[in-house]
Amino acid sequence: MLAEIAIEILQMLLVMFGSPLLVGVIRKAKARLQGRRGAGVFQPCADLRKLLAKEVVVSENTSWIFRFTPYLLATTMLLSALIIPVLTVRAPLGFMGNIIALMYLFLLGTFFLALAGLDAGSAFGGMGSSREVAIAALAEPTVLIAIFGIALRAGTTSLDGIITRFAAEPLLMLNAGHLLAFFALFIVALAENGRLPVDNPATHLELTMIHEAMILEYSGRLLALVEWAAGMKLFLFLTLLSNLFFPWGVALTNTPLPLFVAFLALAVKLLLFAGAIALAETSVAKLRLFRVPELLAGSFTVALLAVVTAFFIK
Amino acid sequence: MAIPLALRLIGADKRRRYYETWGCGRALQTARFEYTATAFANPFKRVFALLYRPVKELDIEFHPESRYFVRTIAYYNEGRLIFEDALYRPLLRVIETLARQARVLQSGNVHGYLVYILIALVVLLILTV
Repeated sequence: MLAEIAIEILQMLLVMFGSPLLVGVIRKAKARLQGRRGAGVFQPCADLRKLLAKEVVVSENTSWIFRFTPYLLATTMLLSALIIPVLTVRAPLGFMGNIIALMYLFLLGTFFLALAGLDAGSAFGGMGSSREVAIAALAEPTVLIAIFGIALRAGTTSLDGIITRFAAEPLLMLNAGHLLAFFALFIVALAENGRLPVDNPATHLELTMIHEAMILEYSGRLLALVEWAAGMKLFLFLTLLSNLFFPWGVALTNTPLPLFVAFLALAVKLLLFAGAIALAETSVAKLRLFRVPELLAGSFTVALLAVVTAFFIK
Repeated sequence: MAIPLALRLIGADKRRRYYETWGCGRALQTARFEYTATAFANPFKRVFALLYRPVKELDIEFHPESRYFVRTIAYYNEGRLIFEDALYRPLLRVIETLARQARVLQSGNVHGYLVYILIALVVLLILTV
């Protein structure tokens, strides 16, 4: 019992402290690829510390939603950290939610963030919310269908179940449908986390930003929470992608050695993903807002193909 | 609930100041600068233009001296509902036509209604036999 609680806390701490580090690694890799030296990988941690020490300025026109949203975001992400098999498939609270519940937990955060963006009454916030909601609505069908693509093959929607099944029968993964589902989910993960072809995380140019526009009114510790939650969301999405599609190394039992191996494996997988994202963001330009639906429609088609192949190729 | 507590514990600044919304340098702000529902829904409208078939009209009256000075501007925008146009309207039309034809039977003449009752009775009797 005590060991199980310790494992949950370990997973949560990993997500809490790993996420700023992951963001830092992506930024560093991107800078190196673009021929810049870039800030150190601990820069996001330093930024968070700085923001926490600053005073909060809240708009006079906001309601409780504005002040409540950062806490809700952080809470949903920490909750997800308890459910997702970050290190081990035997996460004691893993029974609480399957992959569908998880996606809607993420969406709850998106919904409240969109409301908070509108709350201050600034035109920028409204613009960000409007775009974010449109993209979330377009990404939603892809997420669900891609998930059904892998859930059908594994025969369960439980995260632990999918990973255990794939770890036991690796041949199940050697399949076109699996690859298609991976690509569909990867594109959606980029869209949901405000990464490059859809939204530029480094911009503060009014007319192009989406996520940054929504959080424009936040400052001080509230901004720190929002930024941190966004980092955790990216961390969790990439963890989910790497553990669902490449389940090697995930601990099947809760003993110290497999857990340590799982930790190393996760670090390697996340580093690879960070490199891939940095490479993609260096080589791809941001899409025009009204071209984004085409990208998402493409990923939707890929997801649909993944489900169709699940019926034809056993 | 633990998060505000944790923030307190790690020594986060707890001051809070109220100030007006950032207006990108504009000194006077009113509620008219807010994002409207139409603006909010615009991405959807454009993405699903095939379904909504938006009708947009923009009338601008320029100053005679220069096109950079606008005298009046009128914007008109209407969304058509494809289900209403393609499904409900035709259905409604068919039902209305049928109802109009059925109205011939209902002449308001009491003798006529008595005849209907007699006919119904005879038909029922024949059916039961």
